[in-house]
Amino acid sequence: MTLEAINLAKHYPVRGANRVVNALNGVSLTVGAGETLGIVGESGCGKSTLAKVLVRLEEPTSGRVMLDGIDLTALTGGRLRGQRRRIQMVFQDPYSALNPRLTAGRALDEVLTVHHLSGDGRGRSRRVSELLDMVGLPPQFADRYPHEMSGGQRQRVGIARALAVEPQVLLLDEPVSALDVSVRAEIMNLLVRLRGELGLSYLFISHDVAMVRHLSDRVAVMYLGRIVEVGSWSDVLDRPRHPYTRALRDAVPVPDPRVTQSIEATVTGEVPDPAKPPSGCPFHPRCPIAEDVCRTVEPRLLDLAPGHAAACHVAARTAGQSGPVAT
Amino acid sequence: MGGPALLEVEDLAVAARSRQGDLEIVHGVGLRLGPGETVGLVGETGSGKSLTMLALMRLLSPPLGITRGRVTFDGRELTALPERGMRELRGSQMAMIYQDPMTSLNPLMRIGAQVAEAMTAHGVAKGEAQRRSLELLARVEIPDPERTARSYPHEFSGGMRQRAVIAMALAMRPKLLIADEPTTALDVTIQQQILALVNELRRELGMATIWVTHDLGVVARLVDRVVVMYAGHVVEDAPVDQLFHAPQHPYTRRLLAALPNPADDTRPALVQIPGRPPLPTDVVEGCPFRERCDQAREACRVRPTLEWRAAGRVACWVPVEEWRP
Repeated sequence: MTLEAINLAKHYPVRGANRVVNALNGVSLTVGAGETLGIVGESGCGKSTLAKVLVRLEEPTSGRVMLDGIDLTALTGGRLRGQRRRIQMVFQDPYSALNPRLTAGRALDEVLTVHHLSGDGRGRSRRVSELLDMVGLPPQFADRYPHEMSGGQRQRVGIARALAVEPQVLLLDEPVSALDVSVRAEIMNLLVRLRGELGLSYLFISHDVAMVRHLSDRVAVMYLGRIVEVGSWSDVLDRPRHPYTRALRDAVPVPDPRVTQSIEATVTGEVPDPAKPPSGCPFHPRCPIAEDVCRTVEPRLLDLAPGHAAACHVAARTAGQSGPVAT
Repeated sequence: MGGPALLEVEDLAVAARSRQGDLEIVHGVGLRLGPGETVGLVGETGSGKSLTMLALMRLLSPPLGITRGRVTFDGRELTALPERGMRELRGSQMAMIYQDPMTSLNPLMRIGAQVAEAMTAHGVAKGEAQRRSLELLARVEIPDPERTARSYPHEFSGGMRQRAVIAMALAMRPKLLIADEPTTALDVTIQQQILALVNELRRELGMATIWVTHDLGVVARLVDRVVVMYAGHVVEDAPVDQLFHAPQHPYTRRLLAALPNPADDTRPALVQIPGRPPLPTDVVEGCPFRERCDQAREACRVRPTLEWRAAGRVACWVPVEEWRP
């Protein structure tokens, strides 16, 4: 299994203005079988739009989504539904993702019925118990309504529902962000276990650098609709090349008072309005090491080391690359 | 913890009151804060940390109410003060900022006017308040204060709104700031800017601060002392270094272990805390953490009181030396 995004763009028109918001600006990525790609970035970076485009909740303006060589963006109707089943989404807020009038069992049964899975009523009910068991819930849980569940239990049901159609890829959009620390640990451990047991691939989308570091094989950092750095989790988060990745990582308070961490802000200003992106490098107005070239030429995502790419003129030069002007 | 206290909370209890009787949610909290001291108040959802803060500010609304205990602030007993006296103190001597800045902002009023009002409400003349509001907006690093003072909250980003709220809260140079998750909804780079700003202002004004948060990273970076709440009880109260490196309560220890360690390359499984905290409606016998605690024993059937151990206080019968690994 390989899920591939090729040069994805998503532009939204701005109401009442002759402008567009470039929510995604040429994003390419690959997720292999059993691999977890973490996508980290702040609000407005395009990570949620990317998720929606990948499962075709939104149509891309341009670019393609390929699953094992099949162009999902070109499929329609039954053939699209057949392929789309292989990629399932888990949302941040399980409460709004679950129908409040359906018990956990009914919610799962409904998915199985719609997709003609697990045969008759008895087969489905056996499968419901199996799905609940997979996410660590007892079979009696089938009778519970969402309001009778804790946040962690609801997220388990949300994961069970995604697993019901036997997907190969889970798109996890901030799956633990709304949860308390102790519950977050449970769900993270569950995700690790399921990945191993079912050989799933994950796209783990989060603003939480610590969680992304904990779960990912590779990490992509997004800023203003672009991937600005991508590589193995340790390369990107422990040896970042892009100044934005560095700022993002250093902004996360370390839960240890003995770690000397500057209280000073590592990056000034706010994320620019995506409808009015800066010229050149999108990060240059906030960048501590910006040079003249950064104000005019947008840097490309270049390999600076094997499997480790960043879109930064300064990083490219210091890595001994040919430099942005030549590309 | 010697010297005179700026804030002293003794046995403070909060309940939801009804004709059927009181349902106690905060069960007799005690804490003490010296002038200029920075304390973190941590706990998970439902631990009672925000309610405790609202109670000591006397901002609870029915059916919630204080059912027992005493709050003394700067020598005055708040729990005995008439509402008028409280109104004078709030916003001048003690201020509170919240997760959602819109809690404190009027959507129909210009930002500059709201900052000025925070001062005129406490007797500052109008012209003076207007002049100082511009200074304050500049101090909280809002760009182009002359122009932005005329903006409405909806024209601001979340980070800018929180800056405006900080300007309002600090306008009268309070002695105590209660910051209730003010950066939780913000992006991490903006959170860092706001934390740095409040920390600077705190030092400038010599202001005591209580950071209410579920984020142990924020606490590690900012505070002198940490108070941990669980199910409406204070379970541990210790200097920040001891709390993180020699926690005395099993709940504190497990809470810390539930976080991924950013320096660990092996990325081991996170420590879980099985079960869930008791709800106010549950009948709890003994220690509220007993059911989930890996150290629980017979003695824990009796509720532990907060006692001194090492440099802090802890509500646990089992000394660390006797903990099972």
